[in-house]
Amino acid sequence: MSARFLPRESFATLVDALRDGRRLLGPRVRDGAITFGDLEAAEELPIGIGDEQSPGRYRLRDRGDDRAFGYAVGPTSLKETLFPPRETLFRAERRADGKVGFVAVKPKPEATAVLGARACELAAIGVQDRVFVHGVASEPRYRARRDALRLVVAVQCTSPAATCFCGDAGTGPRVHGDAADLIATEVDAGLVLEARTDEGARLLDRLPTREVAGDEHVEAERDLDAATTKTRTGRLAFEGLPERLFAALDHARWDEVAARCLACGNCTNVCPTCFCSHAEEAGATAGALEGRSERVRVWESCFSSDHGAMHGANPRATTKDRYRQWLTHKLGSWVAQFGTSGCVGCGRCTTWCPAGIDLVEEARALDGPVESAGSAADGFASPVVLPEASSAAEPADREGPLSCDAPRAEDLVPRAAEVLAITRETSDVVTLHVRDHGVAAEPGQFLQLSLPTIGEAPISVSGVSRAEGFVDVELTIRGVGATTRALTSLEPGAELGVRGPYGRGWPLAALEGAPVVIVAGGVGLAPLRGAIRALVEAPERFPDVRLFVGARAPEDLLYPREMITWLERSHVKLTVTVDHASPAWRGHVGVVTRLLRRGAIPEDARALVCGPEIMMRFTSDALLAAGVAHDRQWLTMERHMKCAVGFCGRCQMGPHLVCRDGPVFRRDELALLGREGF
Amino acid sequence: MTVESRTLASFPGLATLPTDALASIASLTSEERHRADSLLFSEGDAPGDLYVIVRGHVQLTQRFDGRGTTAVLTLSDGELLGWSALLRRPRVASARALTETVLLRMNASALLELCENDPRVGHRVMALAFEEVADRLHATRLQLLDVFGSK
Ligand SMILES: Cc1cc2nc3c(=O)[nH]c(=O)nc-3n(C[C@H](O)[C@H](O)[C@H](O)COP(=O)(O)OP(=O)(O)OC[C@H]3O[C@@H](n4cnc5c(N)ncnc54)[C@H](O)[C@@H]3O)c2cc1C
Ligand code: SF4
Ligand code: SF4
Repeated sequence: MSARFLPRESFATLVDALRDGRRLLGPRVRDGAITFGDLEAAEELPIGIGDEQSPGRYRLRDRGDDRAFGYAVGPTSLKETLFPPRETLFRAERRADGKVGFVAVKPKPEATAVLGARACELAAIGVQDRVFVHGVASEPRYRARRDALRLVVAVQCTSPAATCFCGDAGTGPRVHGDAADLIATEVDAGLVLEARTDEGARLLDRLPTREVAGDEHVEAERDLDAATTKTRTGRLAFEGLPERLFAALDHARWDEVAARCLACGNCTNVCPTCFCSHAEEAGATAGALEGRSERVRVWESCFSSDHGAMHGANPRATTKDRYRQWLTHKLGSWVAQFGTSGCVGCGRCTTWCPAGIDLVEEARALDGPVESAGSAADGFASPVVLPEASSAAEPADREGPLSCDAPRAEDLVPRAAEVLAITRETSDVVTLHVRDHGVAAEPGQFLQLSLPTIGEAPISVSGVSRAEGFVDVELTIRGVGATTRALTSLEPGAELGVRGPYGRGWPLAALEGAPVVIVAGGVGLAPLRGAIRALVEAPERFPDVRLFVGARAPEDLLYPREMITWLERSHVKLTVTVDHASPAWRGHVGVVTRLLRRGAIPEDARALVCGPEIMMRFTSDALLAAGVAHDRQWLTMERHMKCAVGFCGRCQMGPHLVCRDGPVFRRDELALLGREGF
Repeated sequence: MTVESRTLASFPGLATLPTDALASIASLTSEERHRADSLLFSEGDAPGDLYVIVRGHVQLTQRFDGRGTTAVLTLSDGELLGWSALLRRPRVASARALTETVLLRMNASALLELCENDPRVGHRVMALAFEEVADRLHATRLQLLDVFGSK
């Protein structure tokens, strides 16, 4: 399609045509910066206004001309529009029949047009699409807003800031393909316009354009070439960067940058691709569901101390851990997780950092030869192997059951389920027997359990029985915090919300024929029980099953009656050990790893392990010493989790999203197990 | 019952000792059989002998003032029992056979004398005991961490 020219005097016609029955978003000056927002008239465009940006500094300036698009990106982006900082996911309310109903809250966005999007901005939408639309599931609220972006006019950037590096990132300043309907380049006299879609061509037809004069064409190309040269700074090579960053996890630079970083989270807020979120109960008085309660999703930063925190443990306890998480994710593991870098080179994080930390400068410093901070001496020499981007993008190919093959819609709304009965296991653990109307979980998968007004928690399925029209699930829960304590206090007949099943379960098919060693610690027996039941019931497929169960004290052992029935099977051996006991206890005393070194482990065994992380690490070492290689061990990991489908970013562990890539992992996938800060 | 060098050599750690050294240890070792529930020694007893468990489970208990008696460790096949004998110290814990148990009992003073006279044997025996104690120390640390406890 040939280019056309829209003279500056006619910009109003462009604004009017875009606003025809649509909401229009475009650049305007607000609070001392050029930000994206509702645009009603061409006069609101930042005419004659440019900016100066450097690490920690942003200032508007008078350009001395009448350009409307002569600036570099400001602190906001289209992220706020597609993924608002705060939004309600669902309401829980009493229905007429007295039961709890969960009602999805979904936006009905009006048709929206965009004027002035930059190439980096469009690339950022592409990155967020991979998280919210093309992941293991697709988020209908994001999707609806995305679909409502009907008409996009991109204006290619000819005024990059000193902080920009879209050329290095390969995202700009030119807009490629059909990322926008109409592509514009601003020259002194107006806009050179080129339609990239039919929609764009129709829009172009409605505008009072003329042919592009030869010198206007030359001017546009010259300015674009200059911007390309400027943004190809050559300071950061994206190719191979994930591997180089993960090879530099012990670099002394992490300590240096952590000393400057305020952990304020500005960088993640302004970044157009950062997607982490929190979910909280709002509009509720604690306790019974009197009125209604809502679950609200809000942006969360990986710099907050809550981001990775779990009950009793915080894998990323220090600012150093969090800065390393941000940088290695953004520029590194994003590629394995979503098939693209998380950075589009817009420079916002650098400009808006109050400490003036320059992302490129940090990445460059880490990119050089590793100056060890000394912590490498703790024996973690094994390199972190990043998963192939393709296998992460197509999780259906991976071992073990998965909740879905193709992205299905996941609206994060629970379905109502009922507690049929309760078994008290120990002083703080109960098993809920719940009637659910969802899909039956595979052993090792988990559900998200919700209590309106209180919260939601991921809980492994510890038993399943399928029936016509419903599934009865067992959930063994230890009351440690607000949600789990409320769950363990439910009475028969109580209602709760259920989502799932989610995640990758135990690889039962990979165990067939081989001796199977199962090591469980504490409540870690719960996620294993489904697998154990399957092995106990199928001696022809699993002829040699050895169970090792550890607990704090005899009274903390789960399922003692059921254990006795396992022992009755001749293909099953069971050894139980506790940390403390009275002399009346006839079983073992001592840590579970001591049982494993007593020649109890056949070398060709396959092992399943679940328990506290430290117990799993030592168990894994003991298994390795007994001849069970890492590719024959599977562990199940626990990390903070809000969504369970890769939208909330909370369950990161190095390159992995635990909800999606796990929770069951083969040991050789977990190079970072036991390493501080992940 | 006397013990042959072969029996000793079946325990990892002793297997690589030269035959003459094995024979010397065998000459000061005897096999014992204990019924379930028999007390092997008590906390505070005068220095006694060193044992290797051939078969069976042995429970170690310790008295903690005000907290009663607690089972601290269970030992079984192939493990060393009563290492304090090598230091000629009183017993630090009581040992009770939980099941019928077969033990190899090594006369501690004779063994120490042998170690003194034959440094090859001495080194091997001490290394064996040291490894066992190190393992138990490591395991005790994990126990102390109370990994399954309410954090
Ligand atoms: C895949 C998976 C399976 C699990 N299976 C079981 C199980 O079978 N039985 C069981 O008792 N526990 C299980 N847990 C742990 C359980 O989810 C946490 O104990 C629970 O989320 C704590 O929530 P809380 O509100 O009671 O505690 P609080 O400390 O009040 O937690 C506040 C919030 O932090 C988050 N959070 C805190 N701890 C964890 C955690 N360990 N994991 C994830 N998010 C956390 C939650 O979002 C929670 O709402 C599992 C965790 C995961 C990730
Ligand atoms: S990491 Fe920084 S430069 Fe990269 S896209 Fe995010 S805000 Fe822009
Ligand atoms: S890098 Fe800068 S913007 Fe980001 S958290 Fe640290 S101080 Fe805040």
